Parts: sequence; C-alpha cells; structure tokens
Amino acid sequence: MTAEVRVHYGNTSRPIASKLSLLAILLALLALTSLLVGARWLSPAWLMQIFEVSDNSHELLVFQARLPRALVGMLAGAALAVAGTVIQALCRNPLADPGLLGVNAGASASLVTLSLLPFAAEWGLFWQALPGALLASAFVYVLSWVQHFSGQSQAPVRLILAGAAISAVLGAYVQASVLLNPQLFDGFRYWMAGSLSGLGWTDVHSLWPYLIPAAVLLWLLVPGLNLLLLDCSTALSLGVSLQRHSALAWLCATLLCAAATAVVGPLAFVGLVSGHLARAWLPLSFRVLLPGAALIGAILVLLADILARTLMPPRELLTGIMIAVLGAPFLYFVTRRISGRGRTS
Amino acid sequence: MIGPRFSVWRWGSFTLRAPAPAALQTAVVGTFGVLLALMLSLTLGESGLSPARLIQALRGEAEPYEQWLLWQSRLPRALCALGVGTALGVAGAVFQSLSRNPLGSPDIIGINAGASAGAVLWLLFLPGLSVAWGALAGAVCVLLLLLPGLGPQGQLSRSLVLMGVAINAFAIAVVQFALTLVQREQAQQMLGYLAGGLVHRDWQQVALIGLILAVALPGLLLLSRRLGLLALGRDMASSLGNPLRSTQLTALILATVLALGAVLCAGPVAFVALVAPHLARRRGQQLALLRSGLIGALLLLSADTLTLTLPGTQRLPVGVLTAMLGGAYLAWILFAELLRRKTKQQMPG
Repeated sequence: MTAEVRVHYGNTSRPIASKLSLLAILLALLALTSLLVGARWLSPAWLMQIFEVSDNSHELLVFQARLPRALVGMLAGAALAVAGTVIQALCRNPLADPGLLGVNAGASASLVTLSLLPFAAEWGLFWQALPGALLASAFVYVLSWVQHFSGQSQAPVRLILAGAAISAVLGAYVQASVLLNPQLFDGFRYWMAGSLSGLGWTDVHSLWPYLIPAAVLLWLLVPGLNLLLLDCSTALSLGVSLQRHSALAWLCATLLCAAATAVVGPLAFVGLVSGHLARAWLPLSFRVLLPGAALIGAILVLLADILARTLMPPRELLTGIMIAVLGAPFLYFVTRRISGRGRTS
Repeated sequence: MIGPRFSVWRWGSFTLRAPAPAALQTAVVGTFGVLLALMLSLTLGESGLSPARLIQALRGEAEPYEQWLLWQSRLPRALCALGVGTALGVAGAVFQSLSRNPLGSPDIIGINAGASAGAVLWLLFLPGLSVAWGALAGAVCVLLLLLPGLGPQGQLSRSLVLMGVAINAFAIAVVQFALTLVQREQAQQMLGYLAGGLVHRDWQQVALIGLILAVALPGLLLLSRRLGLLALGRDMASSLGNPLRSTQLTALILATVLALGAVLCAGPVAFVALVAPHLARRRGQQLALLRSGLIGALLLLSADTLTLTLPGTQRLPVGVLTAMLGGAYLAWILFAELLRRKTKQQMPG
C-alpha cells in the first residue's frame, strides 16, 4: 500500500500539496465571503468584533443565520463530490453521477409519498427524503449484484442499467404524482431544483452523523479503490476483494449522497463535475482525488450559493440552478479542451 | 447470424442478403405485435371504438362522429406513436453504438433537455407560436454546441458525450429556472409538455415522421453491417475495409435527423431511446437496429394506450409512462437474469 502511494506521489508531491492548499485557501475565502454578503452586506471589519461581548445586534442575527447555511453548503458539496468520484470509479463510466445510485430519484419519491401520508407529514424534509434514498440505492445495488461475484467486465454496464431503470421508474412516479397533485407541486419545485435557503443548525446536526463515518470508512478503503482503478482482473490478482470493496464503497457513497440530498435537494451535478475536474487536475490516486474533489465540490456549492444570493437582491435564485449554470460551462470547456488535444496528437 | 447468407442484390459496395431465420422470426413477431398494439390502441379507452365499429369505420360505413374519431384523432395519434417510437429506438441504438457507451443516447447528451429548454423559453417569450418549433430550435442549438467535440473520424468521443452531459445539466437548469419564474398553472402546463405528449396529433405530423423514417431508416439499415463491425474496435473495422469516417458521419447525421424528427412530433419523450436498444440487444446481437426500432415503437404505443385507459380526470403525459414501463421492464429483466445466474451458480456446487 505504501509502495503504491509512493508511486503516485513520486517526485511531484510539492505541486499536489500546493494545489490542494490552493483549493483550501480558496474555500476559506469563499466561506468568509459567504458570511458577509447577501441581501444585507456586512463589513469585514465587523468580523473582528464578533469574538467580543455579544450585543444582540441585527448584524449578529444575520451572521448567525448565515453560518449554518454556509456549513451545510460546504458539507453537502464535499459529500456529493466524494460520492461522485467513487461512483465514477465503481461504474467505470465518466457519465456516472450520484444520481445513478438512485439516491436522487428515491429521495424525491419518498418525499412525495410521505408528505401525502398523514402520519409522516410532520417529519420534516430530511426524514421524509432519507428512507427512500437509502432504499433506492440498496435496490439498485441488489439488482446489479451478480457480477460482483464473478468479476466480469460487464459489471459496470449492469450497474448503470440498474441505476437508470430504478431512477426512471421513480422519477416517472414523482412526475406523475406531482402532475396529479397541484398543491404538492408548489412546495416541491423549489426542493427539486436544490436550495440552501432556510437551513439552520438542525440541518448541520442531521448531516454530520452520516458524513463523518462514511468519510472515515472511505479513507480506509482507499488502497483497494486505487487498485480498482486498474481493471477488475488486475485488482483481483493483486488481492483486492472486489465484492467487499465495491459493497463498502457503494455504502459510503450512498450515505454521503443520501444525507446531502435529503438536506439540500438533488444537486447531483456537483458530484459529476467535481469528480471530473479533480481527475483532470490532480493525479489519479484516491488519496489525492478524494480530498481534492471534496474541496472542489464545497467551492462549487458555496460559490453558487453566494451568486444565487447576490445576483438578484432581494430575491434569491435557486442554488441548484446556479450550480448547473456555473458548472456546466466549466465541464463543457474542460472536456472540449481535452478533445481538442486528442485531435492534434 | 451464423453461416453465410446468399446475396440477393448487389450494388457497388452494398450487398443485400437473404434474411437470417432469426431476423425473419423477429419480423413476423414484430408485425403481429405492432398490429395487436395498434388494435388495442384504437379500441381501448373511454372514447374507444368496439372492434365491430372499428371495422365499419375503416370501411367508411360508420356514423360521422366515429368516422371522425378514427380518422382524425385515434389513427394519426397511434401512427405518430409508432413512428416516433421507431425513430427514437433506432436513433438510440446508433448513438449508443457510435459513442460506445451504454448511456450514450440522445437523452443523455442533451438533445431532449435542449428541446425542453427551447420549448420552455418559447412558451415564455413567444407564446403565440407552436411550441414544437421552440423545441426544434433548442435541440439544434445543442447539436451546434456539440459539433466541436466531434472526433476526427466522426466518432462520438468520450469527451463529446461529456460535453453533452454538461449541456444537458445547463438546459435542465434553464428549464427549472423558467419553472420558478411563472405562476403555478403555467408551470404545470409546461411540466406537462416537457414529459412529451401525443395529444392532438394530426396527419401532418404523421406525414412528417413518416417522411423522416423513409429517408433515414433505409440508409441506416444499409450501414448496419458496417456499424456492427465498429463494435469490434476501430482498428479492426478499418482493417476489414470499413471506411470509418464516412460510415460514422453518415450514421450520425441520419440518427440525428431521426431524433430531431421525434422531438418535433412528440416533444421530449424520455427514456425510449435509452432503453429500447438495451432491450433489443438482449439476444446477443451487437447492433439490433430494426429490433430496437420495433421495441421503441411498441413501448411508445403501449404507453400511449395506457394514458388513454388509466382512470382519472387528468391524463398523464406519455413520457411519464414510457419511463415507468421501460424502467420497470428493464429492472425486471435484470432481476430475472439475477435469479437465473444464481441457480446456475448453485448447480455445480
């Protein structure tokens, strides 16, 4: 394991470290900005006073409202990005995103179903969305089960097909019930696009118990995942238990993605984009890719949130829309540059 | 496909061969399936005709209302469903084979989402004109954006598919933004259009999709052997005397025309193009163009029939039901395979 990591780091460890710290600094700056800007702008000088005696001033209230929102945004972005990176490796398909786990469709479906049931109406968005997300992901995994035993090269295709099938059925169910229940549609269309508004400390507290264990487990799985980047038979012959590794990695990705989706809505595009940007920019080792992707995802979500709050004050745009508007051109030009490079060589 | 098939007709590099038994079988089953689905689609539903009335109406002996119902409402609708389904199935098969990606269907690379975005913007800014033109404009915009990513030999490279995914996300964001801008009723109307629909089709649209199929389908069928060779890998295909560039470019253009025609006739219908080729390939063939088209047609027609027969005052758009039917069928196939493999694994042990 150490040998393998050293191969990747080699003599290029300094650029990697500087790249990662660059991302971290950018994230810190954005987090600070996100606390200060919005419908009510605060001055940086005011920040200095925050640790002094608290007077219940208006600014302090604004600040207290923005801090959990920024935290949730960063956590959710990082979680989705890590889940996306893992899923792209497991499916061996650059088009795979956390939505392929069935998490988004499952979360939406259970939200629609449970908010119509009388006993579950009081549960709050998080607890209404989470069970469906986990169930759908488990179902997709079971459907694509067989190949993990036999280690055939067709396994990713099966995974993709299972994910697409389950997502399509659940998505159609959601669309049908939304079309048939207009009052449902009204509250739902904002969650569907992904939104960070109105998040508080309870959301932070419901998020981290899922994220931290999943992240730790994933970090322990990294050596095996790195070998999975080769191909199935090579990984097998190097002593990786495909079944256990893919099952555990799947579980981690599901937990990360389901918790994030339950809080902020389906922002699946974050996972796709940050996985790609990380791989285009960083070396192909999960020790570097996972933190890199997490930073990129957090940056993307925070930046989108800041723009969503400041572009059209006092109205707020939806964060999910801003993420797509920011991330899509980025992905477009990155891949276009890659394809252009392929043409000349 | 085993064993040589004697050639019936030869022109230049094109050879027409006698069909294999499997192909004949598919053709017979397919014809019966389509006829049956057509019958069901015409007879079921609240305003459906009974079989006896149907025959009368077909011979022109029924009452004027039923005559009108058959010739101006139900028949064009069913034919439109068949045509659009075929176009989507074939286009999906070609796109997946050119991009060598099981997800590389027109929906994933953003043609549908582009059409949706175009339609929504059209509804917002030019509500007086037909939405179909907005959808067409959106889809064409997406294709223009995708053009720079086309490989030197006309293949849909991996990066092109990724660019498509980016465009897809952007277009969906545009749609969602538009949905938050408008009032609830209008938003719901938009959402209804976005799932694709076959309500109020007339002979004009049937003629359009028929014309497109008549142009594109024979061309693709002539190319199907070469496209099948591509599955062996590009080097192998070109060393077998396959002109890569012209094959891929022609196939791409024809499949795009099919996808655009489908968008123009039925709006962005989800999932048919993604799922039909997978279902068609279940019997082991690499590229099953005709079978894929057939499955697409059957899927769309049966989904449309279901929208007519389901109870309730509000009709669901057909796109919702294609996703439900196709997705459930795909899941069932995967599940059945799972069971079969498990028993097979247990047997030797």
